[in-house]
Amino acid sequence: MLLDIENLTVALPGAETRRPVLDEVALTVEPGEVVGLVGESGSGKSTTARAVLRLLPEGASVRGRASVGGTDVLAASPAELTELRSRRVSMVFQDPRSVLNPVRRVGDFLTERLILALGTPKAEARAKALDLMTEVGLNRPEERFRQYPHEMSGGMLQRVVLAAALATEPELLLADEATSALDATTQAEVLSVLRDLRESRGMGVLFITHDLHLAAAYCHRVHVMYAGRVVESREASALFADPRHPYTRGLIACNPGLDSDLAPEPIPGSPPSLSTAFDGCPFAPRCPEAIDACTTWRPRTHALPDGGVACLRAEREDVVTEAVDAGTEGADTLRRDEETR
Amino acid sequence: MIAHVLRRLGGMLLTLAVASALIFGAMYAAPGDPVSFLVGDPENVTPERIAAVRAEYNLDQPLLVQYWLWLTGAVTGDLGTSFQYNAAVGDLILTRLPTTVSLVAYAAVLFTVLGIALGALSAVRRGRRTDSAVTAGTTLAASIPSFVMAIALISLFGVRLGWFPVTGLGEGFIGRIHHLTLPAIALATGALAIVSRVTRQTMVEQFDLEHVSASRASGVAERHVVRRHVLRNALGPVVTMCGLVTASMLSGTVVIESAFGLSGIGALLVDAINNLDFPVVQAVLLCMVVAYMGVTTLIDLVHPLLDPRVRLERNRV
Amino acid sequence: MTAQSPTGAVTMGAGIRDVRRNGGRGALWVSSGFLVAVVLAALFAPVVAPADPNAIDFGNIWAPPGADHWLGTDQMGRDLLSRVVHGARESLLGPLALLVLASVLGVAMGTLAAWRRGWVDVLLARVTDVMYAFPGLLFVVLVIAVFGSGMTTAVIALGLAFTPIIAKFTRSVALAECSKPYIDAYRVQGVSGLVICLRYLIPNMAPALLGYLVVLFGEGLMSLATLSFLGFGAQPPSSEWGLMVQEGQSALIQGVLWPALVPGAAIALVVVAFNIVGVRVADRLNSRR
Repeated sequence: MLLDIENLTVALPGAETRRPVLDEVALTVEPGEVVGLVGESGSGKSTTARAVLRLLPEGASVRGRASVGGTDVLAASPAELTELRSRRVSMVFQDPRSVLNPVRRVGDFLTERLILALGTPKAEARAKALDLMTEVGLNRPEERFRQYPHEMSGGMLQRVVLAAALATEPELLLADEATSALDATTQAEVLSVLRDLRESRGMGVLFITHDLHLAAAYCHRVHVMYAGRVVESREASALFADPRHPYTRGLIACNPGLDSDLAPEPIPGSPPSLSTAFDGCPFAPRCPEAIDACTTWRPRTHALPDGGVACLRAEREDVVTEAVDAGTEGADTLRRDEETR
Repeated sequence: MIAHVLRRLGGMLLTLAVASALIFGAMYAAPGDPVSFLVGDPENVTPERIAAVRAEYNLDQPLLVQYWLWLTGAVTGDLGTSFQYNAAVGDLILTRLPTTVSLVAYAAVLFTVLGIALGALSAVRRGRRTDSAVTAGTTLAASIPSFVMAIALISLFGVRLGWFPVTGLGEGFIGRIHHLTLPAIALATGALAIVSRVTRQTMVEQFDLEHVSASRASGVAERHVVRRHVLRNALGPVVTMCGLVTASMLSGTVVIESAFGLSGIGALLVDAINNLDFPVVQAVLLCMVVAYMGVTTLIDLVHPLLDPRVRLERNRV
Repeated sequence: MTAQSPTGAVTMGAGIRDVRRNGGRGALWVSSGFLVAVVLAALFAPVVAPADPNAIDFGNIWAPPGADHWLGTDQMGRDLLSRVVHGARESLLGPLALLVLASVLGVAMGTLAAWRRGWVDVLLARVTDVMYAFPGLLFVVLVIAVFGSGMTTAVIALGLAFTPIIAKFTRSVALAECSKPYIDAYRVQGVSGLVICLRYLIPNMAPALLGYLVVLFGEGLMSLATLSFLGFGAQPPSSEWGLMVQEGQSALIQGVLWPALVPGAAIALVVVAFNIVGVRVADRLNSRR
């Protein structure tokens, strides 16, 4: 297991905060695997990625476990943490414009980690950076090396960011909305660069995006997050064919895709802020399929053959189906139970 | 770019023209005949002296001509004659200039180095006890007028402990540093609070930016992150503030030089007012206003150059 | 003549806000108590002061603090405690007077500039530019050089110097206020501009203006004391604190520290206390808006 997050709960300080920003998040990434993490903004996707590098806001309280290749990140010593951040894990942030220091040259950004974190000699770091720039498809690297971020386009900058992320040959890449700020063609180019590199290096990728279609097309497995929880984790192909969580269905209905005749159908309401607490399922207030029990049901993950889902109704359906399949007497009782509710 | 510079310079010249007219015309606001005002000490008025004043200020000419002759004289280095010292005001100022300049320079070094260091310290330890202590200390120090600070420093370090001399300038570079230390501290305390606060503020804003997180995420040690990203990017506003505060210190020397008995330009001004030596008052005020306006305009024009983004834009325009 | 431009005052306000937030209520209560005591002492100076502030006693010069003279005596044997207590009157009334002058002129100019815009606004901006061309107190020094030293001249000159600062602040508040719909409502009803300004606009701005004036008071006290220290303000035998520091200065070299330190401490303590309380009051007034 390359990345293993178990029951990760992160609470931010502040009087306005009434629920944890991450609530018992669990997810895994195998070497060479691309795992998608999908959700609306504020669902806790970025916090999850940052927690993997222990980049949490000051005063945040953390429970649970996150380990990278056996190193427990949350309990790591400063030396282990530096090793992890500088060599083994790389992160690509959403907006390349804000990731590069505007008053420093692109070359500084590319070599900073090599020189300052890994102690590579300057000339060597420079040579390596130039090679990487060519590898991610930047032409005239010598010239780009001396430019300032504002002199380059967003697509080029994201390639620079990618080159910097790959400079230390990481085991794991955390791509936080790495292509969301780019236009469609650039996005496709960057994704294909990323795919080639991943294949040639056998690196695991946690691919964070708000675009369910992109995630399904690009990833092996997809986790869907809502209000700090993973509500559904499935094989990418199964997610569209048979979404089990109403939220996932809602996300698909929001953007039915070009080949569908359905009209886009938004999810009513808006994602909850941190000042809203829930007694039951956090999605219940917006859920078209919610029953009364949902508002008091404490979400837990119900295992599926290819992952899991945290939905009361999905869980009950399965129990009933299983019972019917097994032909046990309990099935009737359960079904009656269901009807009376 | 050029248009911007010209507009800025034009504005400065206009303001200077009005300010200098104010300085010159002030003598007409004095009660009574300007001659009797300019002659100064009424106990010592002779016909020769009145004639000298009339010639000096061209009082027989129309007002605008008088101003013009005074201004063109000042521009060419003729700042008039002191009645008290019976010497060219330009020479008086020149001989006292080194004292004032070294005092201001010393104070500027002190508040820049200490202010940025304290500001950076409280930014790094923001929200902790060190932060509160720095803010409280510098703010309270700034609530103490500089002359009171001067008296306190003289009492403690000059008289009680005897570590520093309390008057005079000293011999040689070391001696001068030794003599100017207390005055420079007194001059710098007010500025310290401003500079450390601006440093803290701009740095704290930087800490929340994505590129700082990104640098941290790539395993770069915190001290490098602070130096290369936080401090470097906060430098623009901080340097600008240091420059502005240094320029405004010109007027602070008036108090500090009087308190420490230093014979600089500030003390010359106080002396001239007390002795009704108006040509000296006019010349010193004009010099200070010109220097102040010049420095602030220069900072205004130069500070964007610290930011490569602006630099590029300027080049394009 | 410190480097405190209006930005300085604002910076300091922010700093004090932090101090107060972190230092808790203790500092606020101590400061308020101290200020009340100072004001009472100033009001009842003849009762409070143990001796006549101007009683010269050449047999008893530079006496150290003791039973006879709690804070010692000065170079003429005058009781320092009595002088500081009496001096509080002038030292506190001076800044008050200059702020009254500056706010009458400044509020009028600022409101007019915001109300009329156009050339009035431009004129205010130009006047402000010229005033700001004189660093620190140099404009005041020019006025004093022409009209001579003295408390009245110093107060008027400082009042003029503070006017553009207040005018600028008033203008920004008034511009925000003028954009509110009630002003237009009165205008539509045919109420004259002058009446709207005097009856509605200025009263509605008052909390914000008062808050700002409170913050400026410390600045005014410091500036006036500085002028007196230079010999431009209060004249002997006044016991204005800045002047007392100047008179005590000559004793320093001889190792006699009290005559300068006592009034110096009085100035510093009052300014510090006033800033701590003032920022609190300013916040209150602003939040009520």
